Amino acid sequence: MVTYVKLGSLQANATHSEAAAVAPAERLPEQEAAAHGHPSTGQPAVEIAGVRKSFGAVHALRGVDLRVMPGHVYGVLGPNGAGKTTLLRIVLGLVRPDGGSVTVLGGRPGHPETLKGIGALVESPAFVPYLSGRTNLKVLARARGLPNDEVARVLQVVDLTDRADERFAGYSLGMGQRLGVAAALLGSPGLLILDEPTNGLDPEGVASMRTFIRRIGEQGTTVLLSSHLLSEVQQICDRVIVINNGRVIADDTVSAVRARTGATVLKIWASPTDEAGPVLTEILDRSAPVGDDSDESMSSEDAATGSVPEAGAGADPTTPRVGAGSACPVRVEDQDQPYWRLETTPEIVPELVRGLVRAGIAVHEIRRERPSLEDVFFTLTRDDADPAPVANEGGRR
Amino acid sequence: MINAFASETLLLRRRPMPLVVGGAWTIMVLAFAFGVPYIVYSVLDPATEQADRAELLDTLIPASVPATSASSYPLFGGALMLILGVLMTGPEFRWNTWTARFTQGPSRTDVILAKIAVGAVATFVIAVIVAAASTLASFIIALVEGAPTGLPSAADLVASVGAATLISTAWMSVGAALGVVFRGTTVALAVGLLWTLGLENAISGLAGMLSALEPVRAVMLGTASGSLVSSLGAPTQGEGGTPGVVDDLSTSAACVVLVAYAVISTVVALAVSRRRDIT
Repeated sequence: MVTYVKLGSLQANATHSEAAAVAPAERLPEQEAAAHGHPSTGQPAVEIAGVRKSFGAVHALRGVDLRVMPGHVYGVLGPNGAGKTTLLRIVLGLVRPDGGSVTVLGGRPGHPETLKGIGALVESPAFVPYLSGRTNLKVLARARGLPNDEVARVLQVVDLTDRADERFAGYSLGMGQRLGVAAALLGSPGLLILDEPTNGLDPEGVASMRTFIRRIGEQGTTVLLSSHLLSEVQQICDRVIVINNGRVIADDTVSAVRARTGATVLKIWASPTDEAGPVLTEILDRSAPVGDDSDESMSSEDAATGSVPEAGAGADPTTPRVGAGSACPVRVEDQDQPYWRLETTPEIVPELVRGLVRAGIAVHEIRRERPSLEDVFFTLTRDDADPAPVANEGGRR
Repeated sequence: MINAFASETLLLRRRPMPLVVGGAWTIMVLAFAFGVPYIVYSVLDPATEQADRAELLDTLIPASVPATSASSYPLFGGALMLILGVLMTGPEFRWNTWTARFTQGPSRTDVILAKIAVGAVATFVIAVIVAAASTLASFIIALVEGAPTGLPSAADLVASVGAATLISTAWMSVGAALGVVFRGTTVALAVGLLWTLGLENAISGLAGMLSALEPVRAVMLGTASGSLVSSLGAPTQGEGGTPGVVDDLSTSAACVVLVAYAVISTVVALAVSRRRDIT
């Protein structure tokens, strides 16, 4: 079966040896099962229940519950040391959890049969430095029992064919990253685990990689994508998992997570610009829904009301969250004209306009925007702050 | 297991390390087992030292190749093969390639077993090359000196190559296990060479004075290697032979000890690899 995958500047005539290459709509149930390595019965590709992992005194994961459903592109977000890489390594069987259960593609993590259905790029790509990219891939392909044709295919997919016979040590960061992705694609796995796949790529490469990940997701491959680039997750993924302090604090569709705070981002162009700031602050302070805008008091309130969902809580929307520091207007130095940016509820907009006009400030424009994933991420992770020690990336101490 | 073996074979074939170790060892054997003795032979006075010359020439002709080429293995060859073993596993930690190696399908057990099996094959190839090069060198010496050029029996050659392979595999396995245990090359090499060249020689020397150390000496890697080589007919160190060649153990006991080292080292490498988190 041959599918033509266009990857922006990277074009590849991708010959998939297995049914994973077939678009979901074209697939027979048996092909679907073969692509994902588990029965097509709605069974999760990855099911994690109560998983804990500590490295000495450092608690990397503190009871993670998670279900990764097949055919979705999941973005795994979290600050440094949140436990993302530890979680991915547990899924791959590289790290054994202290407790809880993990099922991957219907089997045990790290089991040879399970690993056949998984492709992974964890942290930075690692290869034998003085061997060529092609030889490095051949070594891995042989371990999977794949022919050399498969190496040529994945090199073409990542647009590295021309440089494949150069030594890996001479590769740029971006080329190394593409080789790592190529290694993950060997055998057209049903579950793809990519840790920072666009790291080191040039803008064109980043765009191509994003397009490529979206395409393989559309073709039915389950993707777990860890990234620090929130905009990237917003663009590529249809679901997002937010991990902080070793717990899953959000697991939902990207749009549902973005709607979670209930807040709106306002951009206000007014003049004189400098005088608008104090007026906006005063209105927000006075406004009942905003209340106390200090981080500390808002976090306490959230903790008391349980508005931040616990691990694996799913889609329950939280109570509207305004203020909490992000409500404070922030002056943004736009290229044309500076403006004020603030997070608040839509109901307060008329009061803001009235207050500005009463203060003799001309309001030129007000734009209402949904909070980005980045806005929500910072709100979620800030409110979930925990002073207990957490692991560094990769669980290293 | 077959896939893991194929993968590790390709990796070792493409790495320069076995060529460097094998090449260095071949040159060392040719230089120290044949080159230097032949120079000594050449400078001995035929008039006054004819007996010594004849005795020396006897060790340099093709018929003596099985014992002569194997006689350097107990000490120097073993140490080189230990380095080979360390270099098979240790750099994977520096390159951070275990993650990729352990996520392709073959189990950790398969990967480690394949690595050591491929290493054993490499030691066999090196032993064959060394034996062939030794035969060629001895043939040339015999031709130049007008000595008998008759080749050794096939059985003797097979026994020599077999002994060299067993000794090399045991030392290589120890090195591979040290590379895994110490997660790298530097400490593994330091510990391995300190143990085999320093500690073993010290115990071996002290055992002559302290009888309590005799049982320890009997199960040492160097002692077993030296005993196996002496069973091929090589003169012992005490008889003026190559350092490391001893006759402390019987052939079968030496073989058992060497196999035990290979097995225990492999088990240790497997146990550590299976238990450890790859972070």
